[in-house]
Amino acid sequence: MKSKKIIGFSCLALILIAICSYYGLYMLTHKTTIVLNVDQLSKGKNIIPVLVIGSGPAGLSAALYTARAHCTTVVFAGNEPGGQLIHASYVENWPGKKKETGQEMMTDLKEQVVSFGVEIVNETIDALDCSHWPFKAIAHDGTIITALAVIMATGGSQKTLAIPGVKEYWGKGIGICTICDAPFDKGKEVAVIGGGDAAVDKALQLADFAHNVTILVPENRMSAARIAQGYAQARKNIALKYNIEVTKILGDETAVTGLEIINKQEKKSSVFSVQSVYFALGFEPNSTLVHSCNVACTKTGYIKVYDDTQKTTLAGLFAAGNVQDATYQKAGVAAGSGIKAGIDAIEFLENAGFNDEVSKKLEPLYYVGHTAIKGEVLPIATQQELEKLIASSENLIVVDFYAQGCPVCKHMHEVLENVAGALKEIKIVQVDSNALADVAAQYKINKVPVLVLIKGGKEVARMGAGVSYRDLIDDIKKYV
Amino acid sequence: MQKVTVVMVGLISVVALGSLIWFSQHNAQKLPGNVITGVTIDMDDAAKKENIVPIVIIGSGCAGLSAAVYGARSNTKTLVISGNEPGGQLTETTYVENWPGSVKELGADLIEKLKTQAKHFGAEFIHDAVESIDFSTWPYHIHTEEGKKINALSIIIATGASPRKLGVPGEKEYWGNGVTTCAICDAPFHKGNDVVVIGGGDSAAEEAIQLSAYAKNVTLLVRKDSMRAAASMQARLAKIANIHIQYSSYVDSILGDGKKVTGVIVHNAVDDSTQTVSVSGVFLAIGHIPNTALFKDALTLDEQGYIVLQQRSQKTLLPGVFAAGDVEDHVYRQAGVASGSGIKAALDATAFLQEHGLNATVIKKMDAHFFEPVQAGMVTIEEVEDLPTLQALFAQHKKPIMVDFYTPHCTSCIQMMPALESVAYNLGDKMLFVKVDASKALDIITEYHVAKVPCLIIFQQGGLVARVNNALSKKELYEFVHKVI
Repeated sequence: MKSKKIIGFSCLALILIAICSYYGLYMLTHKTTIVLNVDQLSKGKNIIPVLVIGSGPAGLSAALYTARAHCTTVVFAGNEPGGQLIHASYVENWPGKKKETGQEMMTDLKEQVVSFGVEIVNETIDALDCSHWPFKAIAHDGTIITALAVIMATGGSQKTLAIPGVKEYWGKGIGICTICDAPFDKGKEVAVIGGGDAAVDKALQLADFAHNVTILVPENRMSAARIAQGYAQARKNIALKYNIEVTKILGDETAVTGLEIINKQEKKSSVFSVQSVYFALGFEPNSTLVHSCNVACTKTGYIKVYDDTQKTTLAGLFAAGNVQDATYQKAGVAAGSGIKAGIDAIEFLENAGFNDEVSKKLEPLYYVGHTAIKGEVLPIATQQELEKLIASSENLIVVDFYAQGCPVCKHMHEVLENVAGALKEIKIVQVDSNALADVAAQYKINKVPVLVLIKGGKEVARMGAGVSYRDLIDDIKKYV
Repeated sequence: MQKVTVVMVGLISVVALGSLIWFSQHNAQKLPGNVITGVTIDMDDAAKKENIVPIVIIGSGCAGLSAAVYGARSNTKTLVISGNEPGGQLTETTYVENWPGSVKELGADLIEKLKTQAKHFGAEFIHDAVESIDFSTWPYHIHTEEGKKINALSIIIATGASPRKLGVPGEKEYWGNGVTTCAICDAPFHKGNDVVVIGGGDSAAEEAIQLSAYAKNVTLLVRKDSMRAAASMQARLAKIANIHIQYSSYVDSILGDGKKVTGVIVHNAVDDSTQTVSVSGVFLAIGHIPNTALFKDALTLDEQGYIVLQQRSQKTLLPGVFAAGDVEDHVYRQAGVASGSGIKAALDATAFLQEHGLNATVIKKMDAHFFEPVQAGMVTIEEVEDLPTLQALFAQHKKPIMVDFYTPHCTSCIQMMPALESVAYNLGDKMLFVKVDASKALDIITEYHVAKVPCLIIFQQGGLVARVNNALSKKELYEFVHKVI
């Protein structure tokens, strides 16, 4: 009797194991096939067949391929249009291209992509709902987008150090964008923390202005290409220190005065006196957007991609560039992975039943980016002109301090044109902080872009970069 | 009752076990096996060897050249062995419009830019091909076709892929006499004739478009019921009146009159019918086979012959050996992807060398033992424009004359030129070398029935003594010449 029970139980257990393993196997091998339901989609709106999030080399290369395959593609440029490459003063290792600036490189890529019909929207995606397919994406202006395929090309953000002083002195001597801020470091002692190609590039940008630039390398050697290391060695005012750990950023409350450093080899700590410090420690993947989705990521936050493809664990969601690459992090590699993601997305859409005919049917429902009305941003030529303007107006005046060649400033300019279009009652002017150094000094500008809001002859507020124009409008409105 | 239970338990266990095995195998396929580390790596020992090269790149297509840019930029001595098809497959296309950052460019121009960029950073090139590699000891010994011996500290395999063939009756017989893979080379020979293109991808579409400018009718035979080519390509095809697409069709055999192609027998899979179509040319665009003959014993290859890599890197299972481009990519096979993988391979190679102790001190020790490429001597080959000039040469010279028939856009003709110039330099006293532009010197090509380029003919006092209808490697060129002298 007892033995019968045992046989019965083991029998049941085995049946369960068999069912479970079959189910598991089935799920693994035949991921639920996705089939496009045209009728259901026809009821929706703001449809995007291929939504690319991010506009660096990976995102744009992906868009190049999907658009060329007649899969209508919209790129959401995000808060840092053009990605990390726009910070590079010169790119000499993009395969097949002559040496040009990072900004020129990205402009070429953008023009190429647009020529195939890609729409690039100057907007961010704030949330992604991947619980059902088609996916829902929420744009910053609240638009709910129906995306058939999503390519995550959100890249990485520059890593900083979690040490005392970083938060306190951010923008007061601590920065990331040397191409923007180098002119403010004229004659100063400056440090760059890092050891890769980007650290060298930043040091070179600074060396034209600073008195001395010291690269503080955390390791015992640099990872920068040796030819790039040679560029740094050839400059008299660039020095290198190896095995350095920065433990604290010191300051006098208004500005950075030095760094507390430890030489890891000699186990000696000391104070290194600098007035300005820049981080070049590589990237942190911008993958928060998919954290709500059922997508596998590594411990350090990189999106996992499978086999030799750019497919994530979620069908229809792909990743390319620095958001999934913890190893190489090179623009040319990002572009290659973008192409792969593009081809993967095309294959996914074709298998789901997307073709020219379906596309034609859905076309009236496709998302179209709102072209914001642009207003005027007045360039200021002299100090007198600005003073006259401030004296003559009771309304709010927004003064945008910028620098030539500063990519973030260029983006800020575009945003301000939109703000000017939306807020007719205010005046927005622009001051080249290098050409009008006196004005910049008068307003104590040591970082660009900076917006100084003036009302009734008095400064009422100051704002920095990194906000979308909708947030900026809201912020500025408070002072109208 | 008990019997039933036992049978059931048995059955279920078999099923469960079976699925477990299948499951484990299914997963095992995804993860490449452990790294085979059969060789000892000792940098100081290597420094005592001769003809050392830290990074040897085999192949000079987009993958190889992108690797060269990054390898050389890390100030590591980088040598590219260009192989018998310098520039790779990209040189065979006309315009490239999907290379990120370059709006529209000739494939050959893009390759030239990449090469200039690699040279700018100090990459060195030799016009030679690899004959064999000994992977059993490190540094790996490379023997080239011209007899050079190189000790490679790391190797990047970027040998790409070669066009796949049909394997039907008549293909071998008429190869070069109507059957070809290079539309851009041979399209002018089919002016006013009907031709077929076989294949359904981007390259088949591209070939059909190139041919449509010359041929009367171009029939595209697609094996499946739809094309794999990009939608924009298909849209372009649809706009060209003399291109006809026939789906679910394949070629059973290629027909000819003993000299050249006259037609094909086309099989339709839908109604199982066959049909004879008269054509003068058959253009193959049915994919590629990775060029792994040199490595097949030492490296792990997948079922289709592609080199197996350690996940998400360009590392093969052999230390210090990397692969990039179409030789390892069975999925995408795009120039931009190959380029990205070339960059990764170079970064992997420099990291490997650094990890194993290649530093400034070792490099200094090696300096006197580095391999220094000696550029082979070359002469410019003279052009002959018409039949009377050629016949005058025949009367004038007692030594044999080799005529190289080419067209300006024929990639394999351009690729063969450096090899030919070097052979002409070495054997110029025994044989006269001239070239003929087959698209211009119509009287010569009619006289000698040249219907495909490249074509090499050796004449002795006016009489034809040897002929070959395809591109030859430098080694094969020497063999061909030595048949006569």
